[in-house]
Amino acid sequence: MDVRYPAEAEEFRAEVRAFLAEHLPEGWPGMGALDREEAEAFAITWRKTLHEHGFLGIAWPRKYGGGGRTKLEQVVLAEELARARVPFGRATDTTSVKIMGNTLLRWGSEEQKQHFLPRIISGEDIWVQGFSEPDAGSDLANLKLVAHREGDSWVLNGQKIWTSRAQEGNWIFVLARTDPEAPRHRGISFLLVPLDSPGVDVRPIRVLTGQDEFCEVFFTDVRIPAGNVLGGEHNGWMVAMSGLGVERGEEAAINPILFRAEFDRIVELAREHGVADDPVVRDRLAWCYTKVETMRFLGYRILTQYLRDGELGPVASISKLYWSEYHQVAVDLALAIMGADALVREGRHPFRHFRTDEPGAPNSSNSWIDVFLLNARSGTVYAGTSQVQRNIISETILGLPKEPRG
Amino acid sequence: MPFDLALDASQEAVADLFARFFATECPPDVVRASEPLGFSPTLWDRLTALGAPGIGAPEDTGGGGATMVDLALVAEAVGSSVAPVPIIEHMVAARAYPEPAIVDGTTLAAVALHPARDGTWAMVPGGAVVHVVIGLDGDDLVAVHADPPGVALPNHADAPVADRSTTGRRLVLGDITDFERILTEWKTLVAASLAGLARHALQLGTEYAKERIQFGRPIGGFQAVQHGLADCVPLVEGATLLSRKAAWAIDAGRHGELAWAENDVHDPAALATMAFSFASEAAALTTKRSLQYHGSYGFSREYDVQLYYRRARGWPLVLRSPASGQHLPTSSGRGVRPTWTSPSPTASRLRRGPCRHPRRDASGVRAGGARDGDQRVPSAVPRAR
Repeated sequence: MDVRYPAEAEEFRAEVRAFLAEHLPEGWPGMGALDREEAEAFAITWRKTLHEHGFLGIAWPRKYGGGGRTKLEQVVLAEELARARVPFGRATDTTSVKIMGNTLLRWGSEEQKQHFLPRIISGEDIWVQGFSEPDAGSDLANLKLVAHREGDSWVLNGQKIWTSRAQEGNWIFVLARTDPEAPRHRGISFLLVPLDSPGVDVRPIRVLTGQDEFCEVFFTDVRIPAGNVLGGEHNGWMVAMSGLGVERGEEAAINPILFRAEFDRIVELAREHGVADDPVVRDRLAWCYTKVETMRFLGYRILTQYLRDGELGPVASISKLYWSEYHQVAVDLALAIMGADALVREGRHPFRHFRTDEPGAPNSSNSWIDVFLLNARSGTVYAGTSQVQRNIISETILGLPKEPRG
Repeated sequence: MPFDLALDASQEAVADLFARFFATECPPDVVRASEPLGFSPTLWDRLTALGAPGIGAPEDTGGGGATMVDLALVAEAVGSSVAPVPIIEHMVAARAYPEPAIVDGTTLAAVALHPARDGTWAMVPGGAVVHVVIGLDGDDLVAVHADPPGVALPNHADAPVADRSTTGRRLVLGDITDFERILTEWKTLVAASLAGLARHALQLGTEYAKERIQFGRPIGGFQAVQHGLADCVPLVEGATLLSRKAAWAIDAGRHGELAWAENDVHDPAALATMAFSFASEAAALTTKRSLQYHGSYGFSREYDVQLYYRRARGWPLVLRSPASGQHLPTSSGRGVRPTWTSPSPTASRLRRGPCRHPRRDASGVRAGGARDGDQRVPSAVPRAR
């Protein structure tokens, strides 16, 4: 057992730090300290800078426009970017570069890889995800979007929901039912759909914070070429599950950095409100610190498995349950510290709607309120609810008998 | 029988009357339409027609002469519908200052929860829309008449909270003891409303769990969901009973009865503090669970649970000090004398403009941003009913 990174990883880390020192202004406070317009502009130019240095799609083969580096180096890069308080790309790059890009690398034909991967790297193609449906949330296999073959095309009819940033994308990857006779998980295909196809209708959903990043996407007789399938016909479930696993490895490395930065902001909040000496507050802060420290080690374990196997099993459920439940408690503490100030909305809203606000963000009430209402609140719902995670842990890790399904 | 927790016939009648009133006059769309200010003039007028604003004022002032237990039952119904009217604040104000126009509801009144600072009462619940504010200014309890600002401090509960000036036509009503009595009544009624809010939120979650089918069965059939909702039942029942007891204690006037060792606490201030604290937690946990079990739909504005979730947190916050949390009763029953000072109505907050939707701006749609206008997006998503 060795909790340190190997030497070559540390060499690369030094290289990344030098790159950051060269490309960030002196005393850079973090993207979180910028206002919304500045941050959006920064994210665009920063993405170009990363691209020029081969840091976008860093572990992809060079021939597809990637950096040709190892998975470990990808993790080191992710850590250093998080520490420097800069993003790895634009918000849509989570679904575009990470999920779609990596799924293509694993399952795409050579032709598909050569066509799509460079366009993802350049930003010309922006992919969003179409998985959930009104009747297919936790039970994703219950999906009803159908695609039937008509000559050289697939024809799609149905609906997806909770697609993040569909307004910003130009392509959507979807799971569709292509063999209605097959058992539920087997008759599904992973299909590639241009969002400007006739019959595609994107409608934003207004959420409780007022923002509308999430969308419904309706498909009415949408035609796509028969070749727009990834990983083979009726193999979509396998393809999707492997794609979802990809994010977890990096996430495991970055979460402790994000949550530690957030914790530091809560401590600062306590100081600002004059309660840093309150024993009850201190007790709760100590609890949070301990949880974040433990999160680091849970994360390292996932990381090790990801680097070794490329796959993540039920260990990912441990981490997800842990950090998402922790986050709600931490944000409750932040609000309790703010007291009546937590009611009145002031200042900058968060830029991110998943997990913490940006490191370096000011302690505005809007930042904490929106993280409370949305980011932290949804953490126990998306990517498998806490209830589902507990089932996975109890059945797969503890080996307890399954509760009867329908 | 040492005590009787059941409501008598007239109390049942009050509870039933207001439950039906709010169910008819205040369905969720009325709540939505009132956002972000959180006030419906139409609903207020209907309450006035019912005689609700002065219901607790003495009969010889034109009021209904109702007891605090009756008012608690009204408050429970207010909470169940998250009704966008400052009726709780007004009922308390009318008892303290039963001026005819306040008793009949034509002049709205509210109470400031914190002593005035620099000529301002900070974060007055209902302060955005009331003409009269009753509060502590120095050693005096005063009532100040002034035009309401008509705009609220932007807040996530869409409540008509505002800072109010102590300048205006003033009347001295009493002293700090009178203020503490008012605060006790407000806490009691808000506790009751939070119990009602929690009760309805639990119902929303339960109904959704019965209707939502995943893995071939209603999700309410899974133990994880069942137990999560079941946990909320003692909290809802307990919050209801404790707030009713606090109300009863106010009516009984048994100040200072604090036999903690014998579980014989009848002091209204102590009970109000406990009820407020307990009901706040009950509402917070129940709305959290209910929202969680709605899955992603819990976040959608089209679903009702988020209306309750935000208010469960927002309503008690006006009283919270910027400190570690609870306002715990001490052996004196008076509650811990706060070491914090009142929230400061800072210059920047006083300069704050009208309460717009937090994300709306003149440039309209931005990528990932909110749209202009309050159009609700039509959706094929089935509503749980």
